[in-house]
Amino acid sequence: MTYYEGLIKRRFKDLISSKYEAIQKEYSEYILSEEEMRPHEIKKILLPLDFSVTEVSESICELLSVYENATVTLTFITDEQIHEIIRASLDDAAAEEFIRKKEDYGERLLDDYEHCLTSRNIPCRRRMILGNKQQDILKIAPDFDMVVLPKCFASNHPDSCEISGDAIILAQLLGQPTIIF
Amino acid sequence: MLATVQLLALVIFIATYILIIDERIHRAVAAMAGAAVVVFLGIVPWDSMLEHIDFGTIFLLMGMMIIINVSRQSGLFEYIAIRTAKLAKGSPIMVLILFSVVTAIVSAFLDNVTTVLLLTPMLLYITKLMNLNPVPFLMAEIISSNVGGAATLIGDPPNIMIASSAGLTFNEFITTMGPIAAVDMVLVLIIFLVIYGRSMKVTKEEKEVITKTINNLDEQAAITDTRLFKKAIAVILMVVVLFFTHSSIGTYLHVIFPFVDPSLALEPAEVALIGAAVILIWSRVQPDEIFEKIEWTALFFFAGLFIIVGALVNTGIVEMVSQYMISMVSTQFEAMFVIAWFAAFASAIVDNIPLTAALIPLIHDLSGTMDVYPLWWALSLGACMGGNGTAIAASANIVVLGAAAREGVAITFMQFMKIGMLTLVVTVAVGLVMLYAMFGML
Repeated sequence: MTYYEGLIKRRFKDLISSKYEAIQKEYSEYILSEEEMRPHEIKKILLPLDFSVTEVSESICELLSVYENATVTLTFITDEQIHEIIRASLDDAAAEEFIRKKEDYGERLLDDYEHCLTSRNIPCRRRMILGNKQQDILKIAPDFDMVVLPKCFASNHPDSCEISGDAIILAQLLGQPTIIF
Repeated sequence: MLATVQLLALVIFIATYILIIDERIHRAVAAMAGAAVVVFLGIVPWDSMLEHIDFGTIFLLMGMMIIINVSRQSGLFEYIAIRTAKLAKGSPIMVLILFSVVTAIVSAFLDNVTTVLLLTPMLLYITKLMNLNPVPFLMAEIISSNVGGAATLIGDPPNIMIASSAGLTFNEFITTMGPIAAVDMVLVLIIFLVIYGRSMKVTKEEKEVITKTINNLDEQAAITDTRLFKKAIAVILMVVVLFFTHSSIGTYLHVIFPFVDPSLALEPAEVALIGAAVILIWSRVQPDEIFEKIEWTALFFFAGLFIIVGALVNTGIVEMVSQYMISMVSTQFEAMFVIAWFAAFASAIVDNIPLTAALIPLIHDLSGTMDVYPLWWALSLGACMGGNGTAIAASANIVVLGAAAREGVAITFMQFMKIGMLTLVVTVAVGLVMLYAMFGML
């Protein structure tokens, strides 16, 4: 560093101290960063669903219609661990009944979401998975450009939850742009 | 031959100014340390120390800092930056012109450092969008801030110091320095357009994309508190009106309230403190939050400088320099010439604030031999426009260069000086001719 560069740095620090960081932070709320300015094409969107989702969100269907030519993959996940606990503590029949009920619920939810999306000309696919809600999403998410996550995803108390722990963790761990609704 | 005490005062003065220029020690600490030494040695006796501190300057700065810090919380400056960007409609030349003009106008009424600090991130963002070299835009912003600041009493710290010490009014400043700043601003824009105009080109398609992106910015989103935003604008306007009327406020008030003495006048510092009190009461912002943001280091820096310069006054060094100057110049014309050019070039090296602090007592000392009224304007012109000379000549320069460096945009000392010195010479020369014309010396 030359004397001149050092001098500017010292004087800037003495004059402004931490103010500049604070101003940059304020600006970042409505100015896109360099990374954000780069066009990010969204072609494949993952929308995980589970038992915590009780109704179709029209607003998220509306929002997804902005992404022209994007395909939404609706993925309903049933918790395999609970399935195993029921099998171990009750019997196979009870475990199969659990799966059947969850799948029935899942099918209805997928139908509703599919209708909500296709009515807005958004192409969509559907999947039903028996697995781990957090780990499976982390595993399949890299194949998608964006993840759209229900705010109470994997919550045991969807009626009273503000945002679930799994939704927060997934938003932190996912590398893709993530929308929580 | 200098007496020991004079030599000591001079050594402390020079050593402190070197520390201020170098800034390895914070300038406020350097000024306070220098002041402590002259007080400790009895060069400035404790009892007379406060007499040397110009509280008019300190309280005016403090009041304006409070007003600006409360206003800042509302998002006012970001709002101005986004509106300016939108007005340019994607044209690089319009970005340069509009940002320069807005910077000059805002700098004339509010603090230069805050103005450039809040406009620079937006300017860097737009130049990034336009994929153009940001250097001309940043340089134009710096120079406009210094030129705009010269227009009013509150625009630049040297003007605040000069007005407070010489008892000049806001209206005298705006009528004398305002036209000079306006003409110089036009010249600065012409210089920039001649030098950089050709390189500021974008295709029609690029212009459309830039306009679309900038139009997507929501200036309303920048306003964090709509009520505070409106209150801030109202108080700033009230303060500007009070500045315009401060020297004859009694005349106006007497019409409404006959018991008010028509000769009542407000000091500029009183106006700033009234504005600060009004905005604090009206906005209901937590005062401790705002008082924490007052730049105490700047205020202590000023206080320290006044005491160190006071040591030169007490020991008779200022008188010796003024006697020497009187022997060299015989007319006001010559004195104005020397002061304007000396202040301009010395500001480019020393920073215009400590330089003005040192020259003010010198001009006071000349009052025994000539009418020094025109000399104050020559000092204001030289100190404010001298701020453009080099990268370190004024605080606004440092803020823009420091912010740009953090974003990976480097402006070298020589790169700055080439354009800085050109504008310094043009603006001071034109300003000086205008001053001569105003005072009937041509």
